[in-house]
Amino acid sequence: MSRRTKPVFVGKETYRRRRLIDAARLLPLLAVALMALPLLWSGGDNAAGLTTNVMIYLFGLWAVLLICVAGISYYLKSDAEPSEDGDGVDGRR
Amino acid sequence: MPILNILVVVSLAYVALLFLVAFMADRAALRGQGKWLRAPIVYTLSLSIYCTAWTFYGAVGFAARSGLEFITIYLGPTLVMVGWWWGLRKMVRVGRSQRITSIADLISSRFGKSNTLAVIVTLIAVIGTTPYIALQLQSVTLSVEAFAETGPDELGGMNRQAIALWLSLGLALFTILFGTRNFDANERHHGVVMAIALEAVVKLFALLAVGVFVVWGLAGGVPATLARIDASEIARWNVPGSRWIGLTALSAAAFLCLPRMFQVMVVENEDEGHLRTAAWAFPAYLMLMSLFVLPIAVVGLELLPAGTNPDLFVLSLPLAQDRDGLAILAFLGGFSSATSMVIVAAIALSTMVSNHIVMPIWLKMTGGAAIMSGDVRQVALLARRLSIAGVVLLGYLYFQISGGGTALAKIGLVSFAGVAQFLPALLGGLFWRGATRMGAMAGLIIGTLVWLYCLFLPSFGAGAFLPAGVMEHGPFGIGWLRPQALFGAEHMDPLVHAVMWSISLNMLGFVLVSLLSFPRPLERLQAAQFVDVYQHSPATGGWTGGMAQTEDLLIMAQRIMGGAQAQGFFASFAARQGIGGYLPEPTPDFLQALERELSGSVGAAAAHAMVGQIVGGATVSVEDLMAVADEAAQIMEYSSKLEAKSAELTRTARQLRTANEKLTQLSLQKDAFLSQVSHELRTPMTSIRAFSEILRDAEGLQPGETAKYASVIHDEALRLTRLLDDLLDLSVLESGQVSLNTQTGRLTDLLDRAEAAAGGSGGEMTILRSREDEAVDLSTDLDRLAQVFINLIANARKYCDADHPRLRIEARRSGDVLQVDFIDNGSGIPTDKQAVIFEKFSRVGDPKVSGAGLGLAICQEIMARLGGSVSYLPGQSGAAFRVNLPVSHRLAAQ
Repeated sequence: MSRRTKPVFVGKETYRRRRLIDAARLLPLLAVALMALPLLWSGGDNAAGLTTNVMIYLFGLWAVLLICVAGISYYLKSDAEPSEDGDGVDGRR
Repeated sequence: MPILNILVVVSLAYVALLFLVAFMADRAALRGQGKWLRAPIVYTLSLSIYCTAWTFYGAVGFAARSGLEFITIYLGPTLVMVGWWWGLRKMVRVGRSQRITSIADLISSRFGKSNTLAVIVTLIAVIGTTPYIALQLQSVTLSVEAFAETGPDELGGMNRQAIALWLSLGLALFTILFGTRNFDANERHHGVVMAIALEAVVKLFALLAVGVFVVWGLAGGVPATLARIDASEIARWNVPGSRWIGLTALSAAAFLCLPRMFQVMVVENEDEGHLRTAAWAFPAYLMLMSLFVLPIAVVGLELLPAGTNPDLFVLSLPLAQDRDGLAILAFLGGFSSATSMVIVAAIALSTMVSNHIVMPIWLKMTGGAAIMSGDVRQVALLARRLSIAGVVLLGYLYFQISGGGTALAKIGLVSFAGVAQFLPALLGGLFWRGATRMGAMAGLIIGTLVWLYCLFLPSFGAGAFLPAGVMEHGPFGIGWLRPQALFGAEHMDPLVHAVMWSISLNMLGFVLVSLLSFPRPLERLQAAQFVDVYQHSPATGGWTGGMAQTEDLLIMAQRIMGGAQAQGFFASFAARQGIGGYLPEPTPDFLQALERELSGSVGAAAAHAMVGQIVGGATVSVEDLMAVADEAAQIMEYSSKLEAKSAELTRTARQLRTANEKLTQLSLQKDAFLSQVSHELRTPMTSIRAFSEILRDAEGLQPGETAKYASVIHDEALRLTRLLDDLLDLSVLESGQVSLNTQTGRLTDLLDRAEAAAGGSGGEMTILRSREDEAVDLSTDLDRLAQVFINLIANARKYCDADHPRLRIEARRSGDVLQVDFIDNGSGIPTDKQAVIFEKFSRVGDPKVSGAGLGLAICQEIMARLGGSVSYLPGQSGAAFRVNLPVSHRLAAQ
């Protein structure tokens, strides 16, 4: 492992890219939380507890997720990967 | 025309189309055409084999029974795809850089290429997949039966067994034809992938068509459909949280671990960038697949007579409405789902079975001889084809034995839970360097046993495999070991219960044993390669096998062993294999020899790793290896250079020391000589002057006295002349201006002459000779040679200090060289003087003896002119000189 000191601040593009990677990583966690959300609605006799509502909610969530993933993936082009794995280790020789 | 016949014709036409598409795609790929074969959308569509007939038909049945719960099966994979940056990306990268051929291969590679582990994974995969294949066969037979029910006894002689059999045969044929075209299991099956992509489109289109028909044709639009759902028996949203989360997690795990998913996702992956497209396109596909499931289920429940199998609503709804075309389309959709799953599963399983079970056994049975003589490729291909047939046959047998009952319907999730046991080892292997082989084995075995006990065996019903008593009261009446209430976990959903316990215990075993065990070196190496894959491998790359491999080996070997040696080694092996050129087949024998050869240069472990990495898959790129090899070679070269340099320095220092000693001695000698020569010159000069003064000044000398004094003057003048002659002779010889007068003569005569000239055998000196040995003809400057001999004999006469001086002259032939030794019995020359005796002006020994110290120097110069040498021969009884003279070829031939 090289002991080269990493720069404390990175260029704007690299910074954007890293935040995009953060987003790509956090999105599934958010998705899990949102998918489990309907569990709170079951039980009672309220309108939210209807299958149709949950269905609409889930498909809506699905569509939003798709758009988010498509957006992130589009900008996360695989060319020029300056910070593999996001932690700035320059592993390539 | 009865609908069943139409169905058969359409199905056959569809199958023919699939064959054609696969064939064309393979051909296009072979010609290097068809960029569209490598499009990201094809990759995305190939992922759709996740949607099998079980999901195509079964999702509706699932929804009809338990409402929205079915959607978890699609949410799990969606989550995996959304989180592609976490897991899939790494899996695909590892798969590509390690040239992974299956999930068993991945796990075994990660844990030190352990075949035991691969066998375990393969067995679990076979156990988990076989019922799933049976399920596909069942879905097709059921759907055909659904058509048959519309007409009176139209099925004729065709019973469901026959349908399943023909279907199995066709699938096996297709898979063998297009799945084993190339030997390299890591290569892409373009034909198969294209056919699957087409089937993906067909099944999506079919389901959407049925959905559109149901929503707008039967239910009367979207609001009306929603109203019908609200009015149905599944209107309430009351999915248990454990099932909701458990099933989502299970399907996500299965998505990663299913052998067929691994096949299309990792092995068939053409370009890592395709994941970016699939990350949103595949969830979109899943969303569309599930969009109309609930409406179809609700409308089916409403319109179809009670007792209709909800698993076939997709088919029976159009049939009931006399929409035969739509029904056939729906059938094709289900057919596509079933066939694509069986094809890919068969390819994936056959690769595992043949690579990790059949081939090792075959190689062990036939021993090393098979590797030497037989064509391993053909055997491997045959093994893979037989494995495909075997896997499909197993599915068929399972279908027949289970009787295609409803028990099969549940098997989908049971199967998911089975393959999910790979997850801890898979993810642990990818993200945790401390995971070990023993840990992975422990986790897999524990998890699988729990799965078998809690889920798989009970799924056949109480009493089938597990006695009802065990189910109810636990084995031997131990209550907390009840298969469906392990450790007192009662009132849990059996599936969630089994998944929870099997995965938990699996993980526990995996982590604990990993922490306690110590990995082998290869495991640690592989662990680094897998976990830090982004540091080790570029995004693209990999090279093809065969000759390219040998060439890589040659390049590497050249860098380590050196060009000529490596080429020689390779060429000799190629010749031994009966091949010309420098590239032998990379047989195990050759590799072993090469490894041995290399280990001489870089050590056994490094050689093993290097050869293994080039041959056994690309754990690091060739460039990396070359860099390592270069460094090693450079270090070795540098150190050997240093060694040579230091040896040279030592030598030079020694030479300098010797030279210094010589110079010092020479300087001393020169001083001594100067005094000697001035003495030598002064003595005669003094005599000459004295006697010439007497002759000039003294009067009345006797005539006898005059003559005596004149002769003294004459003698002294001669001495001076001789001294000056010697000096002149030497300078002429040294300057190379001497001309040789070549004559032919016999050594005996020459020695006789020299002996006589040096004072004969008379006096005190005895000269011993062996005249037989001396009968050698010579062609050289005999006068000069005689001069050398005279000098050596005279020296012996002068310096030999023995009481009875004896000189032995020995002549012998040694090859083309004539050796003449002159050995006396005196005290010889001390070692410290031996170096200087041939120098000019050197005088050794008794200073009383006259001489200017030029004789040996002249001898040496003469011998050099004659092409020979004269040297002091140490280690004899006295002073010994050896004269070496080349015998000319003409004479030597006589």
